[in-house]
Amino acid sequence: MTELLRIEDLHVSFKTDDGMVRAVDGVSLTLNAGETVAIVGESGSGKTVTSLSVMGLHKKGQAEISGSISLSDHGTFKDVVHLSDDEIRDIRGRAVAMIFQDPMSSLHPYYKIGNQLAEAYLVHNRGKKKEAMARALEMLDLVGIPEPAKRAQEFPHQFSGGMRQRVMIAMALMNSPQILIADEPTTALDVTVQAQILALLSKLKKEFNMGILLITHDLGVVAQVADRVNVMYAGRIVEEGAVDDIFYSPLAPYTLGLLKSVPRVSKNNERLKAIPGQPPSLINLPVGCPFAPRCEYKQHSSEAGCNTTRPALLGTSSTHRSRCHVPENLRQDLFA
Amino acid sequence: MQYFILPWITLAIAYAAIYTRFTRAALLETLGEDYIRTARAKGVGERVVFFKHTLRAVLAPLITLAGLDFAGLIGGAIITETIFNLPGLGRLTLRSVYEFDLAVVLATTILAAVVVIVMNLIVDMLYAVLDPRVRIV
Repeated sequence: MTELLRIEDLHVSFKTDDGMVRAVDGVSLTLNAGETVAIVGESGSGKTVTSLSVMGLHKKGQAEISGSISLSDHGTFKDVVHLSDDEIRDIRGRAVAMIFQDPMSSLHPYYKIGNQLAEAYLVHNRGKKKEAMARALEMLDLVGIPEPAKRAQEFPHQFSGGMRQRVMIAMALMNSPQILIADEPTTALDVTVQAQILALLSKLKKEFNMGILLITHDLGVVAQVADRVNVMYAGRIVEEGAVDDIFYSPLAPYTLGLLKSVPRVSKNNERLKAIPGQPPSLINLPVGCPFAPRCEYKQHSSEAGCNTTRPALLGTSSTHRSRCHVPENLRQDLFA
Repeated sequence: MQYFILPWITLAIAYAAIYTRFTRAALLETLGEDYIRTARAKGVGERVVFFKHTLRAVLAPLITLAGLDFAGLIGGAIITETIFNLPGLGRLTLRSVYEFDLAVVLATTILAAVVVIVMNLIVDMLYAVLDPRVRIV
């Protein structure tokens, strides 16, 4: 397996009037060619901030970034954190592309679809206008937009939501990137269109042998397309593992809470088990485990370190690791 | 020519303040739009992001304001021309009012009305040129 992306000990914090917001606090993950890695978490857990860091889209001066993001630019690895603005711009859209959450507002309302697609190509291949338009039509066809030549002459408002997301995907593919970051690509779409878009992404992943970093809060989407999953809470990864590990034998109390709070069609008259409380403020994180105030398992921790020390990301298996003070074997019994 | 400098400043300065604030607000709002982030994600340079992607979106609300203000200028001219003792449409209107010269008052009023209507029409047409969403297909 070819490694495309390796994030190591990434920290991102923002200065605000109330203090430093630690949006991402020591995240490490890898992405290989041909696989989909999901980052799951609720709003404010740092998933989008992590993905924007990979694109180098944080404003300098506003965000303080440390750690390393090693990204494969067709074979040569570059550390996004330490590149100059021009060097990052050269990578964006070419080695790594991104699809955003809301296709309604992510396309420029004033320019024709074809020109917007062509621009993505022209930025990295100057002067090749004809080639760019041909490529745009080819990509529109690939993502399943009928009559691409006619549709390319239309404006975004003439497309439906699902079609616009297809256009966004086509735009991301213009330079055949190896890494595709999909930031909640289906959140703004209805369920049938959602399934189509996910199927399309899986198909394209195989065709281009891309690695997809999927940011989402929808566990249904994760179960459908992800190979590996990272669960984030309060800016850190609380559990990482293969998709089956996460869904069938979760080890972090937070992951278990998330899974329990998914409504199931089969259990109609059961009350939904939501996680009590609110996520902590990222300005003043609790000294101990950030999840401790909401955790129902902390009395099982023998060291009772839940309120005093942060748990490390550990696991008996090297591919399935989690952060919790409760011994892993005990958790396996408790969560079963 | 130098006699026009002060009246010019008088007419311009109030608008300048409004337009500066308005442009600033519109610019900041547009720079935060999702499609600007999309442009950056494509690898488009900051200069192109600003001149191609941002400015055109900022222009639309500015044109609306400018069209209406242009019509309003005639009203403003009445005061400015009187204060600076300049011969002009504004002073003519005012003097006709004092002298009960109904025909002239009527003429200037109709002229002002026509200017407002024509400016609105021009604004609407410019809007369609700028923004494809308001074009009638």
